[in-house]
Amino acid sequence: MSLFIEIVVSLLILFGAIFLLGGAVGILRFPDTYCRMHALGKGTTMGIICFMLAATIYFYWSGVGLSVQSILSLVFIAVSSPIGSHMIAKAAYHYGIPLWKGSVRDDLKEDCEFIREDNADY
Amino acid sequence: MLVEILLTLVLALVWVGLTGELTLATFVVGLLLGVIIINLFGKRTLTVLKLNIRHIIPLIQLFFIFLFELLMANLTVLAKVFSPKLNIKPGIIKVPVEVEGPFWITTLANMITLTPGTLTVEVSPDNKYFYVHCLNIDNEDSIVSDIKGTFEKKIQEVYKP
Repeated sequence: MSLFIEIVVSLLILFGAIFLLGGAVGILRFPDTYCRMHALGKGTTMGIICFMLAATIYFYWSGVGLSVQSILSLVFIAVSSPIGSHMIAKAAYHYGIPLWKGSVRDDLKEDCEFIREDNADY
Repeated sequence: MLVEILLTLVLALVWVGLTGELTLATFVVGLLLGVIIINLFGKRTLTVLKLNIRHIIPLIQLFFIFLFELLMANLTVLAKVFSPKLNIKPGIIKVPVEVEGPFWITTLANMITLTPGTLTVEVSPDNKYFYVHCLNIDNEDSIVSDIKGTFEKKIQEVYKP
């Protein structure tokens, strides 16, 4: 394996770790559920994508062969992770978890009853 | 019909990829599973999607735009997370959307979630508005024009070729 590939793989792993660390620090630092979902939803998706890319490149160049599983899991995670953070935020809002006191505005509040009635049908 | 055959083939290839061995047996098993899945869920999904052969290349473009925006979103959130003073002004704003159809609305909501500092919280029952949680709403107009300008336009290009 050439030095170049090794550097690329190392950089990908490093960046993935930084993104995941950012997600973790975001959970600790941000004030409410909704802001935390920002850090969590994006940070973990990108971190895992970086790791999977690194794994794919590494195993391809070390002669094991193209690992389609890691590419597929990359795609599935990229598509499904935002749905997860959306659903957590939505569930939190309808459960009544308040926004942070520093929040500037809340357009959903006035329409919330209406939407809740609509959702009750399901 | 052509779309259904194509989707069955894609499902078979995904199955081959997941098992990790390219043999005739796994491919046939994948084909069988694909036929079953398409027969069970295909009709409903396809009528909802209205997917067409023409959509495939724009969809792939959309995926790469999605990845790029994901990277930008991450850098923005990272900068916010590690900045010594927590410089955020969160809030929920109402954004009008013009995309039609459940699949495209889901796609747009996902993309908004992955753009810098925005997160879809709720969709109005008539599918006309998104309620988007923003980390920083100093400039509401620029957030709305960002969403409408890049993603909505791109998605409309995909489903209205």
